[in-house]
Amino acid sequence: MIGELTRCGAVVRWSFLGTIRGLRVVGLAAFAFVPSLIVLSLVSVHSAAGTLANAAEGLFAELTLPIVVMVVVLVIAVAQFRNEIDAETLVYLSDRSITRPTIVLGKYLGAVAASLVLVVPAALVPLGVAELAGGTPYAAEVPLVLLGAAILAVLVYVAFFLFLGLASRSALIIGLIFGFLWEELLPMLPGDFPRVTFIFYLRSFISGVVPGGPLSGYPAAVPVPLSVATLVGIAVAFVVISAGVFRYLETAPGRESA
Amino acid sequence: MTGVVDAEEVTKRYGEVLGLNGFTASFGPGITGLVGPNGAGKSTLFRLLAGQLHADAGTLTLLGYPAWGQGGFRRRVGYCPEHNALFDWMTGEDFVTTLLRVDGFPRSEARERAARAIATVGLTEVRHRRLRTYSKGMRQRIKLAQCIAHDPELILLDEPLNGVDPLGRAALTSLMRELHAAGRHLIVSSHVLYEVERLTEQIVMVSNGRAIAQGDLHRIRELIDARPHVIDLESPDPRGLARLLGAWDHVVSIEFPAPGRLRVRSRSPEEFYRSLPELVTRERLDVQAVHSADDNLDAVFRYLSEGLR
Amino acid sequence: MTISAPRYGSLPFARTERAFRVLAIMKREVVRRARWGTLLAVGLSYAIVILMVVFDAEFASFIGNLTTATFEAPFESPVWPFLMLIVATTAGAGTIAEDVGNRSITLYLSRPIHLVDYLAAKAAACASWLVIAAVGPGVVGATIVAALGLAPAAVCLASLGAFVVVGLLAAVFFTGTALAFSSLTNRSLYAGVGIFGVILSLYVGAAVVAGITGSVYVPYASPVTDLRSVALTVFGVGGTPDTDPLASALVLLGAGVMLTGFAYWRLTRVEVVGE
Repeated sequence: MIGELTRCGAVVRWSFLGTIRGLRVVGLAAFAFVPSLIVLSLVSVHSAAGTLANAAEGLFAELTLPIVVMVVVLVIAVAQFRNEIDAETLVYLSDRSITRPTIVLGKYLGAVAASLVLVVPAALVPLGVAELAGGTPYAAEVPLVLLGAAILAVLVYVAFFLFLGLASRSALIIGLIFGFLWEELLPMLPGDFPRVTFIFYLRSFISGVVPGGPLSGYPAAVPVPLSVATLVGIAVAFVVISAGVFRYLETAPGRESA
Repeated sequence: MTGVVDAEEVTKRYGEVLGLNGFTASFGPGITGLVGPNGAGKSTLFRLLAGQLHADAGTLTLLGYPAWGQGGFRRRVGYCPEHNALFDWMTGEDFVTTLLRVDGFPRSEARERAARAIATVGLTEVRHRRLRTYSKGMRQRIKLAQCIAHDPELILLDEPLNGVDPLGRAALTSLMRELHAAGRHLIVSSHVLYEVERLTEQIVMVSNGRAIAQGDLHRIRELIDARPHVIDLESPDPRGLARLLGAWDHVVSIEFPAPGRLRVRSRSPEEFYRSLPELVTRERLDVQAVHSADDNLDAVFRYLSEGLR
Repeated sequence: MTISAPRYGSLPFARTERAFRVLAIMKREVVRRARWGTLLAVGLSYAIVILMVVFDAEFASFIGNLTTATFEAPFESPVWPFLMLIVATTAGAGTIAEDVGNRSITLYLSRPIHLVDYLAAKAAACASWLVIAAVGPGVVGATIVAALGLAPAAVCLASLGAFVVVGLLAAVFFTGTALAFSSLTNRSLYAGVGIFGVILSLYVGAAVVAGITGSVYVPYASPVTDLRSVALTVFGVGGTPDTDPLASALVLLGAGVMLTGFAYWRLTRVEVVGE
């Protein structure tokens, strides 16, 4: 058991450090800074305190969660396996005495950690900027619910995109269609269609905790504990599925030099 | 089959292309050379052994375990792939240490082993540099370091001398011999036959996805009956010598490729070498050199490959 | 080994020979980009736009209110810009990035062609797919409406012309965007996600800021808003668009050209580093 933990820890560290480096993370960090930049631009035009507060919250719901988190996690999670398979460097892990499910778990945890480094500031810094500029303190639950939503979003989207990166060579396109079509359009449809999206449960979680303001604009159709349990359950399910897929996956490219 | 690596009717397809086609061979202890031209199936076999690919048919085992599968037995195997893709952002030391940690070694032991392996391949001075700054030869050596750092029993080396300069080749060849002397089993693939010849006489020959010969190189040569052995001799009187040699039944033909030189084709090299000293002594001939022109891997491979066409 | 982009002086070839080379590279690139993602997005674009155009025309014809404005319906939907983004990503995100990543750009640039020729071929290939996706469905839809006799030929022709205008503007802008992002990286994944992320962020961010500040200039930062304003005007839809359509068209054209210029500048600095 301790041996497996050591191995998993090594993969987590490897995955995290390999992600948080280079121009890629600079680009992602710059992108994650966009919500803060927008709030700063509103500060520069002397917007009212209440307006800043609402804008910061609204940006989380309209920009940070559906777009920034999606972009950051898509890049980080898909790259965990897809990039290494394409570059033929996965063999250094897969030919060791570590089990394949442990590799999947290690990569998942490393990707989650790397994503949180970028997503948490994207979620909280605009609030901080608005509060500092406007002087109106938020209710305690607002930053907490944004942090919670960011963490839950990272957990579930990393698990799904990690699976995509393993299962398909076209993970990018499928990820984009999922992230920006499925997750955006299905919630607009009537009936039970929204329930097959992850963002439905994320928005239920947010609305369920925050009673007023721009964040409460979505229907809290599902109780908060159920939303959390559903999202965590989906994340676990996709990690398990990924472990199953990777167990039988061939990790060498096609015949180039046989 | 009870070799270190056993393959029985192993087939691997890449779509319509056959990477391996009913490959059957047994790799014994010691150093075994896996030789064949580009596209013969050497790397496919290594990828199957490393667990990157799954055979479509047949059985493949390493140290008695199925090749496709994870498990503790993988700690007894070291693999040095052919390609030079590495984690460019890591330092050499990081790379080897992390892989040892992935193998379950505690941190301090992983560091010690990594330092030892890096010293063995002569990269101690550059161990703190990022892998992206390494030359081709250095990348080859750091790959070898990660392959031996955990003291594996079986070492798989896919084209280990590719892109390495002559000094580096000598050093790596010497290292391979040391590993063998320390009791390790090595399977070394190459399409450069004279390199493999310098390392070992135990070979497995691959062509078009099949094993066309395996065993001792010289024994294989002897078995190629259809090809008389070519023996070159040097003498100041090649024609006189030729008159005498032509009387032997097993001599098929005699040529004069250059002044002072004689090329004899014989069906029975053992008989030739046994009878030649007696002839030279009896007739007081002046023979200055005797050289077996095709008792080598290149000729053997050529003959076998041509025989399959 | 490092190879930087070569610079040639005047080449001893006729212009026609250069044009043939550009065409050859373009043809190869168009075929190479015919992947399932591109074909799916193009197929969806045709299906959605034609269905919307035909059904709206049928309904408008029934109530006796069919004008060119009826054909503008696809541009009201968020699906249309999304599909254009998908096509730009599949047809354009990897067009330079993959060549740099697998070092095949060294093969292109070792030929006696200018960088401009290489970029022109890549741009033409990406633009071809975008035109197919942006203009084709409208042209087919308007033709079907005319063939079904739902609208006079003049209305259909005017609508066809409007689809061409909006479609070409979209093709210019998205081609420049795809080339610019593709030139920034050696992985099509990052370029594709960058295209999506930036365009959607501009759309949402500009809407939020404009809504709060009331600024009339901020909406121009959103290409989706600019395209919609142009579409509203060329199709003759009533009401005031969020931006001035002529200014929006200039913004889209200018941005497309500048982004292509940026891609050229990036290419002059590309280094393909070997081992």
